[in-house]
Amino acid sequence: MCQRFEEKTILITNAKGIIGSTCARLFHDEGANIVVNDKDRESTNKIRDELKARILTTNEDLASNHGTNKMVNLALDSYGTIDTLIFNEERPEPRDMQEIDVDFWEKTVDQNLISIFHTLQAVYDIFKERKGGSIVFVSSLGARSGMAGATNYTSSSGGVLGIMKSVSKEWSRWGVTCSAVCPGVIEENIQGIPASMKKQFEQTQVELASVRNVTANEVAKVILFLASEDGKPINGQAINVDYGLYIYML
Amino acid sequence: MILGRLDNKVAIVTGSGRGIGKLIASVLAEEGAHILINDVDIKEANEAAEEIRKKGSKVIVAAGMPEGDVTKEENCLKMVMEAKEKLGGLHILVNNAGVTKDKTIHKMDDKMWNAVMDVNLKGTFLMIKAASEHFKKQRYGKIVNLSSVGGLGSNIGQINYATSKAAVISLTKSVARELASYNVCVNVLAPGIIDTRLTRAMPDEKFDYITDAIPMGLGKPIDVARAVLGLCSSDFDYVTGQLINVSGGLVI
Repeated sequence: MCQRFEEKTILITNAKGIIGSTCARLFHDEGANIVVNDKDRESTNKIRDELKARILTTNEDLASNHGTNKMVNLALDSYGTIDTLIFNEERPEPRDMQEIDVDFWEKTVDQNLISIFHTLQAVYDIFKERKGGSIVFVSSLGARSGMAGATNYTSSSGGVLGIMKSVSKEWSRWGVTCSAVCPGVIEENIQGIPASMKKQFEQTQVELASVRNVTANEVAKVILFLASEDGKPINGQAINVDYGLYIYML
Repeated sequence: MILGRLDNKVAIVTGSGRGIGKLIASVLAEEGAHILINDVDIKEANEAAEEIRKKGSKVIVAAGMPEGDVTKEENCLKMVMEAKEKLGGLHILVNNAGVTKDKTIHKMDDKMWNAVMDVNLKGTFLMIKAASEHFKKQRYGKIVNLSSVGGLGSNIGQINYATSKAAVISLTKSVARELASYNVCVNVLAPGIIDTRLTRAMPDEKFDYITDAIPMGLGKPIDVARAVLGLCSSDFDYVTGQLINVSGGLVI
């Protein structure tokens, strides 16, 4: 197996989700030191127990500067730097617009986006000084296509793309590259998709044999490519990882 | 040319006390719509209302703080109720209210981040949520959200603005999907560089550099207002969930 990330340190947020935990495993397989954060201690402990070595877990609330600074400092204390950041989104349960109250909106949109903003601020000096590094944001196909029953989730995913492009423009002068993946229907998350969209996806798959659900492993492999040296020419881009689902929906 | 395309329609235009929002309200009124003017600046809102009334439309005002603040759900619900009670209905919602608080990432504080996200994104969501039940019941509605080319490509020093405007594009598409079967059209405009006080405040060198890059030259506020009018008219009854750049070829 190639070791593209030997001696590199990868920080992964919202690691509880299937994409986050799969990324941790694949980066680790390729030699990286892994730092995973999630408020859910059980999920990070599970990753730690599996990987055993070169793994640091933190359980900070990234909606506060205090939490992000603590997470970043713990990573620095253990591994000396951070080479790559992987931002995952927390996916809320599907709800129609009228069922999304202000609290739910703030929890699923405002807190998600400000968590990324705070983390970027916390790593600013590191990325500026090291003159390089990569950041990959996990958005969703819903940011591109919209999704009935997930106004908050897709708004957040769209916001992630705005953040990605902004960081790309501001930090590329130091050699930092930023990109995003927009996964289609993730096999392991199929239960979380609003019923109306699930029906549409299933119909698409019947009509077009090449369109199928994407696995977390397939998404994570694209993320690893974007984070690697080979991914350097890709900057400020959002890549659909969807077996062509989006183009079929157009 | 005035065709009365919006005769007897009622529109809420947020952030319409001045600038592009005021012009949007004015153009909709010229085509026969009655208008609810919204702005946090009560003086400007009242002046805009007085000006637009001269076009023959009924105009009411929901402005100042806290009444004009679209980041509070109760204000959004009240605006919808007042449009229905005082203007006779609600058919059009233009989410134009927006703010900028520019700084590079490491110099931006939470206050600047939240101020922009709250007005540009949460305010848009809350206004749509407040109006959509009424639109669904009457099986008619036109919602136009204002994003920006900054939401497509971002600018240095605008991470909060770019995030909010990119999110508004995705929001539009999801809401369009939810409301399409109720005959409610939801679209989003991305204006490019438009000749406003804000644009003119740029240093000359930067202004020239930016405007030189626009194939059709600097945009005028009326270009945006006319695009909004088009989307609110019956000409666009079968168009929903679309992002339309009004940027004179800046983004192709």
